[in-house]
Amino acid sequence: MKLSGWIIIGVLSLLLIFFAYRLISDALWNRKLNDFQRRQRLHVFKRPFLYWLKRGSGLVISASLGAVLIGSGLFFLPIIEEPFTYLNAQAVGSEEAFLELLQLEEVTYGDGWFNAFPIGDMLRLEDAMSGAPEADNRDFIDTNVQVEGVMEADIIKTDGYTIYYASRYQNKVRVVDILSDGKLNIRVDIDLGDLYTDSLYLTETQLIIIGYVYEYFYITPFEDDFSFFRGYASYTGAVQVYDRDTLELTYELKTNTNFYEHRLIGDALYLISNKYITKNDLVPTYVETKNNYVDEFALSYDDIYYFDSIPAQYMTVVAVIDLVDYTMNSEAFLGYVNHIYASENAIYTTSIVYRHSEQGGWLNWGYTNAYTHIVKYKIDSENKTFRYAANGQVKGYVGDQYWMDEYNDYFRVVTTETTWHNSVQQKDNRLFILEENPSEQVFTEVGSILSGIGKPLEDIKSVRFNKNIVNIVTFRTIDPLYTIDLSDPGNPVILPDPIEEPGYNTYMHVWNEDYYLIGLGVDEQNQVKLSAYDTSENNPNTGLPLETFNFPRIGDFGATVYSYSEALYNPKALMVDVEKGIFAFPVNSHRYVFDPVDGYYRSQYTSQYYVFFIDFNAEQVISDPIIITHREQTYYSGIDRGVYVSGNNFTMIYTLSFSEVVAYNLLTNEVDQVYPFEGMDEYNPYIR
Amino acid sequence: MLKIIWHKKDLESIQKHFYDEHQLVLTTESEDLPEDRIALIVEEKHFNLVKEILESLEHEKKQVVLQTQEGWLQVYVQHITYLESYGEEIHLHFEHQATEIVKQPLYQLEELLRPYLFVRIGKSYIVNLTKIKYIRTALNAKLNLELVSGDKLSVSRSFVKSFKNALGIHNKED
Repeated sequence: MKLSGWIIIGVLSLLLIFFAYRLISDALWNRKLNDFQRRQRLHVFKRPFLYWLKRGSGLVISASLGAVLIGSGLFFLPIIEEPFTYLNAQAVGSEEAFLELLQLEEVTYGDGWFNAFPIGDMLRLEDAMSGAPEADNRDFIDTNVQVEGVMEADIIKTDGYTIYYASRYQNKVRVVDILSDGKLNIRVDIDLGDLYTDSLYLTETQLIIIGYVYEYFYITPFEDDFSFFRGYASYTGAVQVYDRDTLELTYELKTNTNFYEHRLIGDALYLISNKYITKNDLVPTYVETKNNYVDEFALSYDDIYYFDSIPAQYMTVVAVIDLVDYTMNSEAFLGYVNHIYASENAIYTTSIVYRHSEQGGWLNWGYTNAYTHIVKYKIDSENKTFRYAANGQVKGYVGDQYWMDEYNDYFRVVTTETTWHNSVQQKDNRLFILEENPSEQVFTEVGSILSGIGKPLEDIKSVRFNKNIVNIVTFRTIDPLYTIDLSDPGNPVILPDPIEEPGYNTYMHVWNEDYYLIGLGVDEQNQVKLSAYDTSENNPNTGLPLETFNFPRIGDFGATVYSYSEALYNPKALMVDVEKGIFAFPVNSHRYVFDPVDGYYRSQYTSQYYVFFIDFNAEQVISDPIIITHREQTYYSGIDRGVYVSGNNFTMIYTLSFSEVVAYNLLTNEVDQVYPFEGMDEYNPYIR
Repeated sequence: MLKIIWHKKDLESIQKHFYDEHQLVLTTESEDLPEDRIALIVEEKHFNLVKEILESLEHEKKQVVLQTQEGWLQVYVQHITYLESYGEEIHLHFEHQATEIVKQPLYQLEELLRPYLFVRIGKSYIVNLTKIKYIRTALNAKLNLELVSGDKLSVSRSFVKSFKNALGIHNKED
């Protein structure tokens, strides 16, 4: 509430108290008078109703005024924010100051080498999703995202009427229409030229493509530094916005780095970039094309900030694009980004920093004393703004975005760390609960668990937060699945009797009850498996999963089959809908087949899409799967995604791969039709 | 058994008073009454009630003699609503807006009228407690009184306590 609100409500309350006091004392005095009159055998005057009405009016008026003021929320809005000053993020200010900072960093080396090849990170881009409009008569399953309301990009997006599919290594986006009978019309391919993309978003009217162009070359980071040189890929990151009706480019933003991570919240597209800094390429630059007008600009040194004792080989560039009027804002903060977590209110970025000791300088080569530097940016998706909010460090490093969570303003993060003491390995798995301290713009630790997650030498394999619970899977030889109660942020408690089974989960999905989990992972022979769990005290199979589905190891003719699913490490490859009870993902397997003609063993790739129906109330929780198989290829052409769409008279799952789309009719339980992509039969990705 | 004898010409007003205030009926149907007298036959349990009624009637009948500029003035005490002093003069206010000016110090009048339920409510005011219609509490811890005559008086802060006692003291006397 605003100060004026407090004052006015306060005054009203005082008035209220006064009027109430006056009314009560009036009543008491007049009763005394009446008693007196009665005793004296005098005429007893009854006070007329009007008297009480007049005396009570003040009370009634002030009470109702107060109620209206509080009820209307007049003083709650708008909250006027004070001009915000960054306390521990300091503006670089000028090129000279910036170069000086970089010279200091050069001496201390920083975390350069391992992060000098962010290409690997790019290929693993675990992004995510987009909001597609809810169709009147089409129902579909959207991208599997971590936080509801925060869209993540994926290679496939649909609104139930059209499927947009970024055929990753061909730099094109296929546009496939779903007709009213569920048949497909492969409409057109958007040719992106050199632009590689694996990130699409949809809004009601727009198709957003985020990608990059890269070239390799060798550089020496600084002129007089010949100590080592680096192979380096130069990025030109791009955001392209297409009109979905005309498929015409309406907006484009290019930058001299990549757009590493991004989220779409309402009409605000948040972009996080890792900018590698070289002497010739110091600041982020942008080329913006809108309304056929090209604008080139660079980020001002006043909008570049640094933190004390954070390596400065890279800078994190945070940008937001307003998709309504195409305005763009950005700021940069020195330091790298490994993973991001975004809620509707904040974006958290993490990077690993290595420290020689608590007080000492930076140590590059040892895997000891790893810290995660966390930076919180507060975002306002209504006004399409963001600002730096806090930063801090915790021990260990974060595995992926699912290791982080925000709930009730607490930031919860799980870290793992491998250390060597006198050649003896040690693994430490930790949980931290942090709270932003807005006055100092740092994180304060509210609670933590520093030991007891995992047995000795066990790594964390997957994490899933669910409100006041977190489930953590650790692994070395057997998988314990821990449940940790976070309901008291100051005192998180590991619940007894973790579930143990061979293998481990790489991804966990919370089912409709708080304690029902579906886990996707691998078994002890590294084959894909799917398990259902009850993590509550009432688990009928104490210490064990309810059910597990193992994928076959032995295929036709006794050949060993090796199965793998992209969904193991990219949750966006999953198609999940708890209400429909669907859990589906592609599984690619290969086996060696003896070719009697030339006497050699050849690899034969099979790509299948497994659709499971999950029902925790049924006797068999995990149903026997529907398996949709694509034609075998002599090269790797796996199914990328499946798309569930139901219309007025059809319910289909479309599975899309490099070479074809298979439409599977869920009403008749058979393949409806196969739609090959043109030219893909002869296409060989190894000859390009 | 108690026997009270009145003059017959008072019958109507007494009858009315008894009936209006106490729902008691007076009658003249009795054989052994002297000419032009009436009798009230009361059960013992009503003695106190009757006594009080008679006292209050007595109050109504009470007269005091006060000195005015023109000479001596005889007034029914219960006709006075309040007294107000202007310098040396004391204004006597009556129920029907009539006033009389008395040349007697206020403290003397206070002493004189105290037995008849008069109480000092300010430096220059004395009010007849039986003539108060309503009481209103005011902002500054004063009390505002409205009298049956429609006049409005206020009880000064320093007299609130004695006013309160005056309303209450009679309670104890009962």
